[in-house]
Amino acid sequence: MNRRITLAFALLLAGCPIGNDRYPKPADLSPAWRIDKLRVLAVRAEPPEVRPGETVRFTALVLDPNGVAGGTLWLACPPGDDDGVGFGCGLTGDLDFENATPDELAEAGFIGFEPGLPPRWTPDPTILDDLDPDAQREGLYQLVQLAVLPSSLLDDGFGAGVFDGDLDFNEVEVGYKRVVVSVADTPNRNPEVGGFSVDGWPVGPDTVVEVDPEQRYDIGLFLPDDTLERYAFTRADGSIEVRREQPYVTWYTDGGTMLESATLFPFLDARWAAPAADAEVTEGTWWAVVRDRRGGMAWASRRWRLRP
Amino acid sequence: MNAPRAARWGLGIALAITTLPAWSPHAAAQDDAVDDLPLIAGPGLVTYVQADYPQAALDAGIEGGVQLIVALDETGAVESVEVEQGLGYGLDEAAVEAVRAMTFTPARTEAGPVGVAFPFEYVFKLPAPPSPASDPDTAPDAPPADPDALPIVEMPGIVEYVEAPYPPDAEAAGLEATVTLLVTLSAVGVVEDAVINGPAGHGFDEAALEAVRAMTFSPARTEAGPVGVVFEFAYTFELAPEEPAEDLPAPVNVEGSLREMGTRRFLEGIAVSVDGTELSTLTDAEGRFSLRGVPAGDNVLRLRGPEHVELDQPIRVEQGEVTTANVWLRARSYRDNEAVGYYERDRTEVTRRTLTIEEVKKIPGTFGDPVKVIQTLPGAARSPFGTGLLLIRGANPEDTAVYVDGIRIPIVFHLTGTTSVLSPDSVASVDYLPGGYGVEFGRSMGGTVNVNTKDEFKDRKLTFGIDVLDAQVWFEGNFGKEKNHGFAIGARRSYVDAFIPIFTANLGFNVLPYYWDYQAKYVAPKTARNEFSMFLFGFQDILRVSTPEDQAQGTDVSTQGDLRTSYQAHRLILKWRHTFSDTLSILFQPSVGIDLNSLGLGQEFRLDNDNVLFQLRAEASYRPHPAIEIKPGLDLIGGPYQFDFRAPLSIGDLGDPLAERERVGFDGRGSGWSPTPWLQTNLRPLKDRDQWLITTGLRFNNETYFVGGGITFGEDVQPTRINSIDPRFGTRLRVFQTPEGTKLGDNMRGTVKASTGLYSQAPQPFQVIGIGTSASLLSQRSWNSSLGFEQQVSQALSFDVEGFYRWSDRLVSFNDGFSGRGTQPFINAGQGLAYGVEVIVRHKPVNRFFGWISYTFVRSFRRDDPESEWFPFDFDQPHIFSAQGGYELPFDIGLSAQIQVVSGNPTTPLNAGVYDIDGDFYNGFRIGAGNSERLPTFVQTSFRIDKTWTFKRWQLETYLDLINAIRGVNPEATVYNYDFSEAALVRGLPFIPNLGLEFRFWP
Repeated sequence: MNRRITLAFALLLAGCPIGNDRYPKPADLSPAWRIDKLRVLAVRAEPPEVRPGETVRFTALVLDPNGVAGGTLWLACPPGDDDGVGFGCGLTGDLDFENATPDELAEAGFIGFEPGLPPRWTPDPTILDDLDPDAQREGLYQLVQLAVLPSSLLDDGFGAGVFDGDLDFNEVEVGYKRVVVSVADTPNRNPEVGGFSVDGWPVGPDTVVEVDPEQRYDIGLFLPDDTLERYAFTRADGSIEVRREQPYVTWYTDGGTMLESATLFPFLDARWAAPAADAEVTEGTWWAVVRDRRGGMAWASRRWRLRP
Repeated sequence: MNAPRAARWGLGIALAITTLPAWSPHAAAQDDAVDDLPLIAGPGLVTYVQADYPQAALDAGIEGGVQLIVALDETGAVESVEVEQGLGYGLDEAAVEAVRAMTFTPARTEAGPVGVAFPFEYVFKLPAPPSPASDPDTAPDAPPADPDALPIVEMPGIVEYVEAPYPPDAEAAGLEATVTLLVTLSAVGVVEDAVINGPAGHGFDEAALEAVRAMTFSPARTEAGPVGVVFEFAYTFELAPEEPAEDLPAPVNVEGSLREMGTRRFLEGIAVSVDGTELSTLTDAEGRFSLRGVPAGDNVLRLRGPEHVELDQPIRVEQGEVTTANVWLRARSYRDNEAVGYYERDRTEVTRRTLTIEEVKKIPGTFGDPVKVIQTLPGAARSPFGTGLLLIRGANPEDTAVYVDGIRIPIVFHLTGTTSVLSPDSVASVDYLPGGYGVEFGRSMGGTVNVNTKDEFKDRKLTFGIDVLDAQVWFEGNFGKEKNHGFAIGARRSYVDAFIPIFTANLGFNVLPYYWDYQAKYVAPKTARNEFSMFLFGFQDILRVSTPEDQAQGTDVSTQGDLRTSYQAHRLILKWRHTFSDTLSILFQPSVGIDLNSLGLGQEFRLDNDNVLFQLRAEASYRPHPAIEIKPGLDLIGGPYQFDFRAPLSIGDLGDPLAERERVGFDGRGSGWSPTPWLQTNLRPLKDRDQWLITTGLRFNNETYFVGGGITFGEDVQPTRINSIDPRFGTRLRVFQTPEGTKLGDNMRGTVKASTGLYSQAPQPFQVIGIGTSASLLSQRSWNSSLGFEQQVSQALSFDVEGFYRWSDRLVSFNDGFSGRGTQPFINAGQGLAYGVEVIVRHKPVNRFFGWISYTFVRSFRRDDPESEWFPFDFDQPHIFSAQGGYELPFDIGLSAQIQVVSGNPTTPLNAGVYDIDGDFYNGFRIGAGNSERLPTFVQTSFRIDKTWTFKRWQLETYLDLINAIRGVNPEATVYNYDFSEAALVRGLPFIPNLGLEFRFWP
């Protein structure tokens, strides 16, 4: 009996939790840097800033570790659909997707489907006509949306289940990107990745880096000087300020632990801890996405393998 | 030669023998006084208890007097009641029971109170049969009841006894006698007449008559008040027995003094007796005592006082020597203010709840803070951990106003939410007014909390306390020739910032909160007409979240760096109360203060705001009639302000990850003034003035804001003027009260209470400042009504039930049409609704136990405009239950516990998200209406054990609070993973083992 009382008192002093495991804790949530399901990490528009009537091509960094993706649908949001910021947009109007003509599809916002129809989009040549010259140089956003659809949704024919309102957004990966349409004198260009490093040592694209279990490594990107553009920015008072891009990098991996998931220029190196020797994942990939904060993007990846 | 001896006197009672009540002394009392000094005052009847008339006696028609012998001790407590001559039929037992329940003042000799035994006649008189003329129901024109015809509940008492000179001839002849007189006493206790009723001759009659006419008495009383009476008085002349030469008093052989442990005060009136002997005495004003003839050898001194722990002190007495015993007694309580009303304002509020400092101090989880305990009372919702919000009856936190001595302060809790901004040592009481309060308080639609600071400092006392949160020092006392200038000074500083980094070392950031506060008070000597005090206090709260410089915090360059907030406030309050007469008094309370606030994030985002505040609370109380009180008043607040706002991008660009950062900002300066007069009348229309109170009032709110500086963007911005009138009404009606002497107990009251009224609240200052334009907002307003009932069930137990309803409109909401400069960010479009029932059952600190159970059912809703759907308020907690209690064990050990069970706050469910590829973040989808789901129920159980050690010169209190010892989930919010596909709960209140020490010295 005394032991029971002692135990009860000890539990009391320790602050015994009741039902503490009934609900997940914030630490249990999966981090953004861990690639364990279908993800869209980046979309590169080429060019990222276009003139009216100029065609843009898109490339997406889509990761699908479980092999569920069936295809990627690309849409252009209607001009002026600024409310779409936050949730992108959908196809406009009622459309029999499988039987529609190309013109009808284009009218509805369809700009591509992968695999098969690489996305490309051309903004309306008159899109800036209503703006004053300063505003035309500043430009405006047009949204382009992609939805990576699982193959299970496409089994019954393209469009079924996607557009009938029953779409479970946890099964698809939907993202949107801004395309700047302007007549700027110094339109933005995408950045380029000059190289990849591990603990300061350059690592080539085909190299597989061997890492020791549970060791920490500094992984970094090299950005050439000319990729950090200088550009003119018109201040609120009308004066011109020349600025230089200050990109940042977001990091991803499918094994180990990314100790920093984002790094800012000029400190672009991130820390990563290798998995334990008995970990389920013993080899994987690092991905790094560079954003120049003006809509330009680039990415790179390297393989790693746990040293036996 | 026989020395004349003072007459002994007796006390008896006989009721309703004639139309005038009579008081007839009987045989001389058996004086049990500890010495031979004559009595200068007999025992006085304080509380008369009516005996139950036994049915058997009623049936048999038995009436008459039961002759009793009543023995009182030196405190006036009834020690024994014996029947000397009874009547039977159960009358004897009924009389004994009634007299045992009566209370008396003790008899006194010149040396102080003494125990006595005296005869007492309890008279039973059969009730008269009802007659048509005396039946009020059948005699509508009957005059009001004659107070003199009511039964006497308190007999006359001797205030000043005058000893009659012993007639020389009678003394020489060795004669003794008793003279009986009939004394006519007025309603104010003046002897109007005295005549000899039973003469004794030999000069006794004249001497007795002269002496009785010179005496003064306290008047007899009925329930209606003092009345004139005629009573019989016996004056007895006795010759003292001739003392033999060898009967000289024994020499003093034990002496000493008594002091209180800790305070070192000398104790007066403590009974000192020698165990096993008849020897006893009382300590004098200097705490001294002396005893004669204590037997040689080992003895035990028995020390007894009503406010001190009993002590049996062994002493050894040597033959022929004087033994000195200087003894320390421990007080039963060291709290000067333990009887001070808590949450109790004057009696014009409809809702008031009372706790004592002792209770508050023992509640685990409150850190001994009297303001914190509000959150255990009905009407108060649970505040999220660490915020210290006051969420009263479904109102927004900013809708509840906080005052110190009637002067408004911006916040009441430090940023940890655990302690208030005033040291508990400085607090005398707290008024917690959840609703239905009068017009003297305003500018708030929700509740009101007014912290009253101490005005009395008796002894010099130095207190030093430490616990897991902070350390504090407090010194109070008095000075001056007559020690009638009071002062207090104290300070406190938290040190949570010192040990939080230990627990957050691996998190990549440090949360460093700390706070400090100070208080200083001076209280001038009180006079019959004037009271003056001066109170200076201030506090600062700082929160810094620091991150390593080489580690990115998100992807936005402009928000990299430390987060730092600081809130600082200081107030100087002068208080002067002047009483012109019994019917007219004024209170004049000016204050000046300054608030300094800043918020910064990284290098780019900053908001600084400074306000100088002048406040005045002035009110008069005029009572032209006992039933009418008129209170006009002025409540002024105002002063200049300035602010400076800097941000890395404009509000319109928030959420756009590609927006170019360009530092924007503006400053503003101006002033705001709100001189608000009010008028309140308190009517007490019934003869018992406490029975029914009707309070009506009008408050004339007006606010004017002048705007200047960069925020006007050069526009001619007109001042914003906001006016409103608040009518308010409240009433309390005592619907029943048990008569004294009932088995339930005296004065068990049941009271119905109700209130209704308008409560206006101007928008917050930042809301009435347009950006480059004039603002045109109105007062937000709330119509609050309540209806309740409260009852005292026994001396210890009471309950209070109250329902309330609140309708709010013109609530400030964000203007969807706001487009920056030239437009108004806020409009009066919102509406609110709250209703509920509050219950509290309370056991006062009686028989070592105290506690209360509180339950609130409340629903609270909002909508942004009259056309939109209602949604639950962010802190809508339908069920709020708390139970807390404590028990005092022997050896100054206390145990207490608390349990809280509260509905979880509403939350808006999200599921899945859309990826903003440029910004690298997801926007979550709402899968339900706003606040349509609820977090899990909050449950926490806390325990506390404390022990006090009292030493001769100081005291140490130790306590261990196990806050949230048995934890529930205690969720405060839902968080999602990066793409909103997973959800988790943020835990709030952690387990906090709080070990505290408090040292008290009386220098």
